[in-house]
Order: sequence, then C-alpha cells, then structure tokens
Amino acid sequence: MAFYIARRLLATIPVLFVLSVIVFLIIYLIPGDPAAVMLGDGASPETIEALREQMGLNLPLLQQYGRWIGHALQGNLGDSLFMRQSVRAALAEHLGPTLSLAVLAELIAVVIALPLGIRAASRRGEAADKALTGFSLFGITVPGFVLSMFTVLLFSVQLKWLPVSGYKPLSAGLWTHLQYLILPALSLGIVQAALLARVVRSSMLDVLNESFVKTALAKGVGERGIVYRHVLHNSWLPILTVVGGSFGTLIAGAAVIESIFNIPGMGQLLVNSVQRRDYSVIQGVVLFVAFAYVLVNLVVDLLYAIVDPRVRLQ
Amino acid sequence: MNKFYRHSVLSLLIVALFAVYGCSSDNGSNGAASGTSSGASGASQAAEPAADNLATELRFPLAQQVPTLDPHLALNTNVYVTLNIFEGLFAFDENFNPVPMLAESYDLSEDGKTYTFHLRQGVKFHNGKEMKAEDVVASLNRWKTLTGRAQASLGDSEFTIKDDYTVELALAEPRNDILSQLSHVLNNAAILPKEVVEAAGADGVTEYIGTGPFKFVEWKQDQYVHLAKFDDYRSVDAAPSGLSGKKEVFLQDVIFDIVPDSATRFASFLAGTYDYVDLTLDNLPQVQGLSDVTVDKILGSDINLVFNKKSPLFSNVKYREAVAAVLDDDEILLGTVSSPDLYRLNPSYMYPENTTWYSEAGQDNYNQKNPDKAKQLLQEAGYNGEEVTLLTTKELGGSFYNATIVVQKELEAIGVKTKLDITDFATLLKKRADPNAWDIYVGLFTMPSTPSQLLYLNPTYGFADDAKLAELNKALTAAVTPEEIKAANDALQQYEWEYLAAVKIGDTYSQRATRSKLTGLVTLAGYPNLANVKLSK
Repeated sequence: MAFYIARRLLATIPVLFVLSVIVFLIIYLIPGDPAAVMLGDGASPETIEALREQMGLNLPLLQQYGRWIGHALQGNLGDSLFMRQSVRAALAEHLGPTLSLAVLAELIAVVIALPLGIRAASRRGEAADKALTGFSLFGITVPGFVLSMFTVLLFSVQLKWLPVSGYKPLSAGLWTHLQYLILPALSLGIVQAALLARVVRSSMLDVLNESFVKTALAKGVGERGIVYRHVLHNSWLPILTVVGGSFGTLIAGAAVIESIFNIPGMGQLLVNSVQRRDYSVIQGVVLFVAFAYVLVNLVVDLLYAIVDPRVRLQ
Repeated sequence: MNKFYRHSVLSLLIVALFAVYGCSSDNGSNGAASGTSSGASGASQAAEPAADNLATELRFPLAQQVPTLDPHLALNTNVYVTLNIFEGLFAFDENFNPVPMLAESYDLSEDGKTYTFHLRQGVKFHNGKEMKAEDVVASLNRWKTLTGRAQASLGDSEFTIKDDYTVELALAEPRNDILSQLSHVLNNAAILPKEVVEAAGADGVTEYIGTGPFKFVEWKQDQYVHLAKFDDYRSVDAAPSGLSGKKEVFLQDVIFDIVPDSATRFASFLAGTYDYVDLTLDNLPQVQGLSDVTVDKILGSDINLVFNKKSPLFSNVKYREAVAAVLDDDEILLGTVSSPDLYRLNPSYMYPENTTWYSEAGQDNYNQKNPDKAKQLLQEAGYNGEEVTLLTTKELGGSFYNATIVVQKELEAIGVKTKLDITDFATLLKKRADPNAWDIYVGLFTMPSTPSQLLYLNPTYGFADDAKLAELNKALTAAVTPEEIKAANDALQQYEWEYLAAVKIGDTYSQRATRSKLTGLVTLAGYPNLANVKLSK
C-alpha cells in the first residue's frame, strides 16, 4: 500500500514538469505587461522600464524559466509580483476559503443526491423517479451564476437571512464562517447534486438487475435490506468516482461563483492574477491545482479498496 | 417520506423564484429624488443626524482591484482610497481650482518662473512626525520622476528646501499649470514622510503614511482596505469644497470592500451592506421606488477617439480628417451609455464647468456626421482597402467596447475595412504603447484640469509628434493673464481640431444611489471625499 502511494506520487512529477513548461510558455505568449498594469496610463516609460527590471521580466525567457524551476524544485514558488508575499503564502491563504467551500458544497451535493438517487432507483418510473429527472434537468441546465443570483435575491435581499457576499475565516466562529458559505455552496452543490443523483440512480439500477438481488428477494430479504445492504454496497465505485471528480473541480476553484460571492479562494486568485499578469502566481496556482487533482484521484483509488474488498492496489 | 418527494425540490424552487419575482416588482415608482450635478457633487439632502446617533463604520464598495496604494503611482482604481489617506500641497475645489491644502500660501516670482511654497506648521503624519520641507521635497521630486505629465510640465527643475517650512521650485520657463499638476487626483502629488519615500522600490512605497483624515490600517489584497480615523488630523479652516477645505471626521473606520461583480455590489446595496453604490441602467428601476434612496448622476468621464499617429494610414492627416468627418457622436454616446440622459455633446477637450480652459474653438469639425465628405477625403488620401485596427477591451464595464463598435459601424459605412482587436485590459495597455499594433483606440478618460495634462496631446500616448502642437502647448502653459490664457487655449484647441491627435466624442455621466442615512458625501470626478461624511445608525 505504501509502495503504491509512493509510486503514484512519484508519477506526478513528470506531469507537473510538462505542465510547468506549457503554462510558462502560454503566459509569456499572451501580450500584457505586469509593470504597465501596476503603473497605469500616467506613468513615464522609464518608470515602467525600471519596474520591469526589478520584476526580472527583462531576462531571456529560458533564463527566467531556469530560475523559476530551480527555485520550484526546492519548494520555493517565488514571490507574487503584486501581492508583496510569496506565492506559497498566497496559495495557503486562498486555499482555506476554497477548501471550506468545496467541502460544504460536496456535502450538500451528497446529502441531496444520495437519498434522491436511491429513492429514484428503488421506485423506478414512479413519481420520485420523475421528480429526480426534473431536478437533474434543472441542476444541469441552470448555470451556477443564475442560481446564485436567485438565491442571493431570496435569502439575502428579501429575507435578509444571509450576507450577500464576502468571507469570514473559521477563526471568526463556525456560524459566521458558514453564513458566508451557505449560498455559494448551495449554488455549487445543487449543480453537483444533479449530476451525482443521476449516477447514484443508474449505478443502483445496474446492480438491481443482478441475479443476486433476485436471490435475495427470493430468500425473503425486505426492501430496505436489499436497497441498503446489498445494492448500495455494490454501487459505491461509480459514485465515489464522480464525487472525487467533482471535489477535484471544486478544489480547482469555482472561479465564477467565487467572483460573484467575492470569496478569496483559488478561483478568484487565478482570475485576478491572470488579469494583472502576475506570472509567478498563475504558475503556482496551476501547478497546485494539478497536484490537488492527482491527490484527490489517489484518495479515491485508495477508497475503492476500502469499499470494495475485491479491488487490489498494486 | 413519499409526500416529501412528490413535492419535490423542484417545485419548492419554482415557488421560491416566483416569490422573489413578486417581492421585487411590487415597489411603486414614486419617492425617488433625483438630481444632477457636475464635476463635484454632494449627496447630503437629508436632515443632519445627531452626534450620538452616528454609526462609526462605513463600508464602501470598490468596483476594481487595487494594484498599489502608492499615491504617486495611483491609477483611477486606487484613487478612491488614496485620496482619503494622503494630501498634497494643493487640492481641487469643486470647480477644479487648486486651493492650498498642506501649503499655507505660495508666492510666484515676477518672471513667473519661481514658485515659493510656504508650508502649514504643526501638520502631523500618521506616524506622529511633523511634516516639514524635507518631506515635501523628497515626495515631490519622486512624484515628478514617476509621473509622465509632471515630467512634461516640470522638465529638469527640482523642488528644493529653503527652510523647514519653505519649499522652492525654480522653472526654466514660466508655466501656469503647476498648481493644477500638484492637485490632479491621478498620480497625486501627495506628501509622504521622507524616510518612506527613500525606502520605496520601483513597485512603490511599502508604508502608507500620509497626513490625511484617515490613516491606513490594513490592506488585504483583492478583499478590502481598512482605514481608521486619524485623531491628530489638523484641518484647514476653510469651507469644504470638492477635495479642499475643512475635513472633519465622524467615522471611526472605513472599509473599502473590493467587489468586482456589479450585480453583487448592487445586491449588497439592496441588502443594506452598503449605503452607496454605482448603478447600471438596468438596476435603476429597482432603486427608484425606494423612498430612502437618492439617485443622482455624476459627470464621470469623456470619450475620445485617439489615432495612432505612427500608423501607416493615420500618420496622414487626411485619414484622420476622414474619420472626424464621418463620426455621429450622438450615436456613439448613446451606444455607450444607453440613455440620452447620461451623455452630453461637448466640442471642447475640457468640461464647460472648467471656466478657465473650456473653449469652443474649432468646433466646426466636431460631430460632423458627413459621410460624403469622409468618402471624398478617403479618395483624396488614396485609400485602397487597407485594414484599420480598432483596439479595445470588454473589461471596465464594457463601455470601451460599446463605443468602439459604433465607431466601427460608422467607418464601415463609408467603405473602410476594419478589424476589431479585443483584448483584456492588461494586453490593451501593452499594445497601445506599441506603434505597430493599432490604428484607432476609443476610450473613456478621467478629465484633467488643464489641457497640458491631456494624455493624447503627449508623445507617449498615441505618438503625437508635431512641432506646431508642441509649440502651442508650450505657449499655453506659459500664458499668464486671463486674456493670454484664453487666446493660447483657443489657438491650441483650434489646432487640435485640425491636427486631430484625437477626436472628442462627448462627455458621459454615471449614476449612483445613496441612502438617506449617509450624508455629506462629496465626490470629485467620481472619487469620494469621506471627510465630513456622517452615517446615522
């Protein structure tokens, strides 16, 4: 097991390396100058040039990359051009909000999707099943930003139950922390729930058609026993895969939702950094997200072995 | 359990959506007061609240990121904040006249070349140090190196210390725009402690210490800037006007929240998080029905079409004349702001409110709407289907893009082949500095106070390179008496309408909503002066 984990982690190194080269090239191919962004219209050309020099942007591309990768290998992702802090510190600061949001959104998705999917599968063709189809259609077709505007209008503007936007860390108290996250998590969670519920349903239906279900029925196991003990147990693999995938997406930062709710997470950091050409931060975020994805997939693979003893990891 | 599922989540949501719709449309359309104001504007219409009934914290939404809080580097986005932390020797009153702020008074030598500034005594920085001539000289010499317009105006002249409270500026030529340069809100000539200035790198100062009514507390990048009342603030004893005059602080804390999404800002205003918000046209009906909200419009910016005078086509004045001939400014302005109430035609490069520098010279070439003349000019210039690149961005609320596509349509109507180059703002800045990357750029500008500060009359912006233009510019700033100033100004504007470094399109307003519990808020060119602001609980 330990060997398996080590091998999987080592395999990410070439991926990250190739990714770093691609990202480096892409951002330097896009025109735009961080120095000009910082100093604006009124600055004299000499001032802009001096800042470019200080930022190290006048070095040849290869030298810039060499310098960057050298530091990156030692775990130093460099300093942000704009934020007066290291990229590592910026990532750490923005990871918290994204992680909280992702966990809450995923929780909402699972809490909605599991019972809905299970119910729909065991009552196939009945009202519950049709309701699920409607809900899924709604969740998949209504974009997250539309959903979020409606939830804001209802819960913040009309009812004044929750704040419109912003973020307070966990240290400010659990309820304060959650208050700011509920609406964005709901907007993200409903979309994920729609996908997940369909997967739960179809995965359960596959198992329901297996012959061992008939055997169980024949020997007189009750409906609850069949659904929860036999069928659900055997349906976990596809469900885990989808949960893992959606969690990976959420960690990458829900750029649109984070912008709407003004949550200082990874998505917002990436969008802001691209807008002002904060090269080192863009690099850092992309690499981090790639690594997080790999990690989430690894955890999902490990969970396979736990929920299904037939899976052997080598 | 079954019942729950039958009344599924879907139907709940549908009900919720109807509820929102019902609630938001049941407001009548009466009760909203509205007013119009020019460059500077005050929003205090409600009765003055009693002192013990005042709130101590104001949250103010900002639409754009703050890249730096260095006042000398300040762009249009961070001036909102920096104007409240820092002060200069002079500040604009509501009519854009420079009024002494940190200066007590000044003398101008008879030849018009030497300015002597007498500083106010006992003015403290936020770190407790008294402001003296060494701080002023260090700050202003740095400001003048960093700022393009100051360089153009001051040349090699430096500020020097005469004694602890006296600073001198000796110019090579007499200039009438020095006080305006020192008051301009962008790249503000703010006074900082000498030590802070000396410690600054190319990316700006690292400590934000000024003399203003609010001191810097915390800046959480991309989230908020927190300022607090400066208890030792020494106010001047003159009537408040624009950014000048008396500043009394009634707030303990001011938090500028950075909220780039305009729908989020507006929803936060409706929810009561903010008592002030910028409005888009589609939001307007929702606040017009609220009895405690005042809607007014403020003169925000002017639109100009700038030519790249180094481009193959537009280095030829005939092509520039052709474009000026075809433009239908009403159509462009309406396409930009969507409402006839939010723009006005103006043939001058300055606002009519600016009585010293407003001029109607050369206005025959403004808003010509004459496609036949334009076609004729194109023919004379030998136009042969070359492609014209229009540089624009969809960022900054989309105004640049909206104005540009109307111009594009008007050019295509006379047979000009065009190409839109739409980029993000960072790319646009880079491309605009490259003479080979574009032909025409239509932009919204923050209006300066004198023509000598106009970006597009400057060689670094659109590459105006013309001996007569430079000469008239020089004559303009050297003029002393009002008559001389008027004559020089008319001559410059007349020539600008012939040379066409840029074509003036018109002036635009923006709208904002203020709750009646927020009083005393004054803005200049859209930037808020938070001194004298009262917020009742």
